[in-house]
Amino acid sequence: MNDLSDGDDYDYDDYDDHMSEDGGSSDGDEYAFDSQGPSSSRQAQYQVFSEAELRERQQQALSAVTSVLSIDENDAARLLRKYKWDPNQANEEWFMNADSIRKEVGLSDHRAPPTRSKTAVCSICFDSHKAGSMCAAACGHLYCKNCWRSYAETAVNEGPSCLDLRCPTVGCGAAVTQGVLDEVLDKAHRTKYDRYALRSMVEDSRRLTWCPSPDCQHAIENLTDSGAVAIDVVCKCSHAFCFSCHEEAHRPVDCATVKRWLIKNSAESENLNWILAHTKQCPQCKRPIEKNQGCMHMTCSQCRHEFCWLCQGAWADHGERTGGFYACNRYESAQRAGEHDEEMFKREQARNALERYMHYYQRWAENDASRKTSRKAAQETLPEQLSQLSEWTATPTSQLNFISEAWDQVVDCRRILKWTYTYGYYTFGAVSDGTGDKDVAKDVLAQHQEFFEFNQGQAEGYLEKLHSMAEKNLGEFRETLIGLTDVTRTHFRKLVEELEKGLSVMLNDYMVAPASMEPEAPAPAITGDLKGEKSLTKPRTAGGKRTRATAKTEREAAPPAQARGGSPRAAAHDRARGQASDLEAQAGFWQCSSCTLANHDFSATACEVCETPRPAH
Amino acid sequence: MSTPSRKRLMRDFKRLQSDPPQGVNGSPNPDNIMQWNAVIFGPDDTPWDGGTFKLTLTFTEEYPNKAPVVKFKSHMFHPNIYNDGGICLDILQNQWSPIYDVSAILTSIQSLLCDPNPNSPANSEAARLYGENRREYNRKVKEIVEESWKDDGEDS
Repeated sequence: MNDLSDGDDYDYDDYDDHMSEDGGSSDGDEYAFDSQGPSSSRQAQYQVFSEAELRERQQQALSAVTSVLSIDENDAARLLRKYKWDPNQANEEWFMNADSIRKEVGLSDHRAPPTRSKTAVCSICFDSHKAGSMCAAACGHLYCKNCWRSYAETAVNEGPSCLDLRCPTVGCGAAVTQGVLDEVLDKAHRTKYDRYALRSMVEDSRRLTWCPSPDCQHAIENLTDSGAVAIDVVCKCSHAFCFSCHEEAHRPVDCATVKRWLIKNSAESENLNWILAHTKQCPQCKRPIEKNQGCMHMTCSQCRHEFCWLCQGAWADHGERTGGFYACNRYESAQRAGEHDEEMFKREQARNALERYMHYYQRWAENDASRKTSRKAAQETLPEQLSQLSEWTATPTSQLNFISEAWDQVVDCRRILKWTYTYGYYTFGAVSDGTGDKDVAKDVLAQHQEFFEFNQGQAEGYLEKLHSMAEKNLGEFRETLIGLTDVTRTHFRKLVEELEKGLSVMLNDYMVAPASMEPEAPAPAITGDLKGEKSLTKPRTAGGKRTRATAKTEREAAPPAQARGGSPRAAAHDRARGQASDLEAQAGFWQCSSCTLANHDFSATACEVCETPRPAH
Repeated sequence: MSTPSRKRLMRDFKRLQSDPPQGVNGSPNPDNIMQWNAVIFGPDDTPWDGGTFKLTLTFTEEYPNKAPVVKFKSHMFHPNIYNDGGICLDILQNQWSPIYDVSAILTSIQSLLCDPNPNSPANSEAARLYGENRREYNRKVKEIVEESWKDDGEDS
């Protein structure tokens, strides 16, 4: 019943324990996520519930209250609704202040004495009925069943407010709980009431949310205590979204930035910038004018004002005095004198800003489009292709899983890559146009930008390689594809984590490994701190198993390299390199930096096929 | 064609006739029991004294689980009555209960006349005068009372 983002194995304690704890600030310790490592715990601490599982959970919350407070389940439901389905809070508050809560929620503990008279008048329909055929909430105000039914049906048809239904008697306020409703409502309305109750549990609880994908009935529980931080979750329906803002998953960018970006994309704000960049206002009527041809002598089509396009002075002032009609010296002399033309500057700035935005937006949109087509391919055509391929190559489909894994990775990475463009747009504004983060000095920011773009480029490079390889869809690329999938996954995960930590930290980490490192080494991010390497330790494929022995020898060979380094910096460098070779050893091959072939011969110094020298270790 | 709501409305009418409350009266349209006309007389010894104010009540098949729509036909000047005659009264909105009947609705509205709730003003001018210049307010109410007699004359 547990489901997590990436389908890797994980150990769960029974989550019931979690429910009876105090909000679970230490949840992180309870769950072990083998493939994630400590720093990425944010990524995986959630749980997907199906409807049946939600009902189970609801039942557990109810029994957590009924067992402690000795009230019946229907009353407990009312109480839990008040406390947003938090059994602990409900229990605590009740202990402290039972009487006032009883009154507020409408749960009286004074049971009405049974009526002695045989008949009673229902004060809704004014008919008299046998007392036995009438019913009442805990307050004992009797109404006939027909009137109860229509009263309750009207309430249920009104919507979720029926969960707060009260006795019709004016000034009574006793809660009408499910017990009475079950007695009078038909099945359709009972089902509806049940659904509202379930919905109220998910919608009231801060930790639960519905999957926003249309027609998806799953709910997600956030197991962390992070309030407004972006948390990517993947529903069982495969829809990936951010728990906090319900937009599509968008790490490493935070929710506020995403909102800003999406608004910017949809809003007209860029129109305004275009107008500013490409038009000037008529000096008289202030209407924007686009000059698309002709000389500098402008006549406004609206107010017939004649002016000079260059200096925006009245045309009448132009002539001998300014050095001729068609050479506006005033403008040039103003420039010569170093007078800063405010208007001009603003316009230039607007044009730059627009171009900059277009740059980032195009790349964002391209990656988005690519993600969508990849996703479509992975969902629609891939299964068919896989079964065909398994026929041709006589391999069981389960052995071909690596191809769909690669595709899933492509889809995932496209999404992350897309958002790194948003990140770049908002983070490095100060370098080019003075907007953005003002706390960081310009040169540091420029350095950050270079570094960010380098990392982004690296990540993108791997993704492109993986994508094109996956598209070839050939059996013999198996190892290459597996390797590339892992490398790309690691690279992107690291990119996201580091960006979230901040660029300064990232740069410092990186600076420890000096530039002397071979540019052909698998990737700088991989050789950094290898939190992601755990995912490679699992015997994912037969290939991985085969090279266990090699891995061992490689690792044993590593210590001398570490001892060699004198300074801490060099030691870190060596460690990084040692880890890189570890990584290769565990993957069971080393990858040619030129043709990406997976070479299994670790003693070789050059690629088997293209003979490109192997990067030194 | 006796639905629960129609049956209940007939009962309401019977109760209204057998036990008529002070100062209010009402009856269904002869050809449509879902549509009622009613009169509220201004309570004695108040500025409303002597006024005869006409209303309509429109019921739905969901009555008595849903409140009817009640509107004044006569021109009114009251903090909780809109210019179009609509009434801002809690029991006609969220505090409705199916145990209210026509006579309860009419008596509630009658008591609203002398006991307005200035916190939810539907007529801001009336609410302002009621709070700041009661004398002027009373004068305006008296005008309305006289106007209600004229309405009578025109209708009959």
